[in-house]
Amino acid sequence: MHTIQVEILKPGLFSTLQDQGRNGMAFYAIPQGGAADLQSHQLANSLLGNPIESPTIECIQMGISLKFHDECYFVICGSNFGWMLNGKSIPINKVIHADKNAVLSFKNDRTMSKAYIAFKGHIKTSQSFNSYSTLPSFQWGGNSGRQLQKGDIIQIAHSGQGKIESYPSIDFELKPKSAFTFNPGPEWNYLSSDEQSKIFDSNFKITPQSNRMGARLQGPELISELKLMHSVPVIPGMIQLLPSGQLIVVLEDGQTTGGYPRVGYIERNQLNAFNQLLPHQGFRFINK
Amino acid sequence: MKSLHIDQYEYELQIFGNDFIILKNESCGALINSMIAKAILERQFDFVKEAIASEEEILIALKKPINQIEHLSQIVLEKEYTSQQWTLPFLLDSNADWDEIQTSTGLNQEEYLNLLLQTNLTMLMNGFLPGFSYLTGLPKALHCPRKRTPSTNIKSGSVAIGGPYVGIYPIDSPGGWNVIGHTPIRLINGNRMPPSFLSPGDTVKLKLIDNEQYDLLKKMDLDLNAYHSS
Repeated sequence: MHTIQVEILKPGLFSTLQDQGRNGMAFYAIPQGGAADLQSHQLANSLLGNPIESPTIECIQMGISLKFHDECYFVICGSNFGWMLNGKSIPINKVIHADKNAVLSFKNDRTMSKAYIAFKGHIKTSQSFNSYSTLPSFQWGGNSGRQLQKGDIIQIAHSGQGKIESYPSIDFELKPKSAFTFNPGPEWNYLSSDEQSKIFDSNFKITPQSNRMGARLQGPELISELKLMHSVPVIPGMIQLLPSGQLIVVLEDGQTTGGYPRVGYIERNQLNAFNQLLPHQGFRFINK
Repeated sequence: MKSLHIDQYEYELQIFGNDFIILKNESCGALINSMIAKAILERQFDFVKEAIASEEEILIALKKPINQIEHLSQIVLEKEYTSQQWTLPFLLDSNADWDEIQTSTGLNQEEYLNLLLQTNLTMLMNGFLPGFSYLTGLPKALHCPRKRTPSTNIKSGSVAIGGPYVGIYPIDSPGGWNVIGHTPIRLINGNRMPPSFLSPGDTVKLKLIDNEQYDLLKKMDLDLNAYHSS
């Protein structure tokens, strides 16, 4: 067993360690957390032969620059931010070998919103409630609960001495999706049928005010006369109607209760692709 | 409409595909919903990912398709729930939202405080933020509606009134409740299970402290357990 050190040179916009999230903690109003695109997180780990529960670096809307102080194997899945190793372009969805002192960098490209970097071995970092998912507002999870910053060192425990002989890759291109199924939520009937049909006849956009707590949408103004009398439980994927008439999709770090009508929800397996939408990117809702 | 009996309560059952179910009961109240949600989690059913309680419903997020929903009827609440009694040090903040309180309740600071400090509050449910508890038991005269425009930054440790509830902000956060003072004691600990010290049914009494005591306790950085054992 030896330790590989990877240093953060440029942290990007919002880069954190994430895993598959916390389970059973929403009762305590603690959000599930975890990779916003679980599929890409799992693919990155799988290509390296890591357990899918291993933490990965989640980069949002921009890449991250790293220096490998030791030889290391890694994989990037999700968005291609114009990734380069020592100044040369590298592919996503493929195991890459980094020599000692190699530098990972990125251009200003982006195909989607989120990328996941997995390293061969196991990242040694802090946990909260058996999860590495970082929740900076409470300083819980990996990297002492903080966003990755310049100068941070990631320590990776690695058992294999030998080199990886073949470099697994998957011929797979995650294409941005532009349609998502809108499932009727508990307060679907707060909308009249005219208002309901607006949801399926309109274009929506992700606004830049979106983050890991929620995606604020820009779409048709939806009118509801009915208001909730009490707060109600919500989970990631739930679509709430704001007093402004716009919709918000609750995401991984979102609150567990809320006071807005839950007019719909996006299923967990479609949230992966939904979370890859970039700000200003348009999409439609389709009827179940 | 399907219904389901849990303990002595009848819940209306709403199923949302393989994603989540909602158990709705508009009369049994948040405390019963909290206790049942907690019991559901403790049973570790293989289909339960999350159980979240609120005033009128319990939401169960599903880990896998639910086949035998009637298993939930096996839940029985403990008849003799041993609730804990907590004291929470409280520093009055004269600069906080007392104008709003006076306008809504007609009581001045001293009158309001006299009644509040005599009140035994009961922890009803979690919600809003990790470590945030909805405490109930305020006499009607002390209820005060939430602000129309939420404050952008309520400080961690703020004790605030929202409608019929008392709540304590665990971190700096935007919020719509009326702040009346602050506690130097932490109500959540990320290194412990359960992370919240207050459980549904526990009682809380506020204890007035002065600036000097506040600063001393703040410096000691105690959580609720440590405060009670000190």
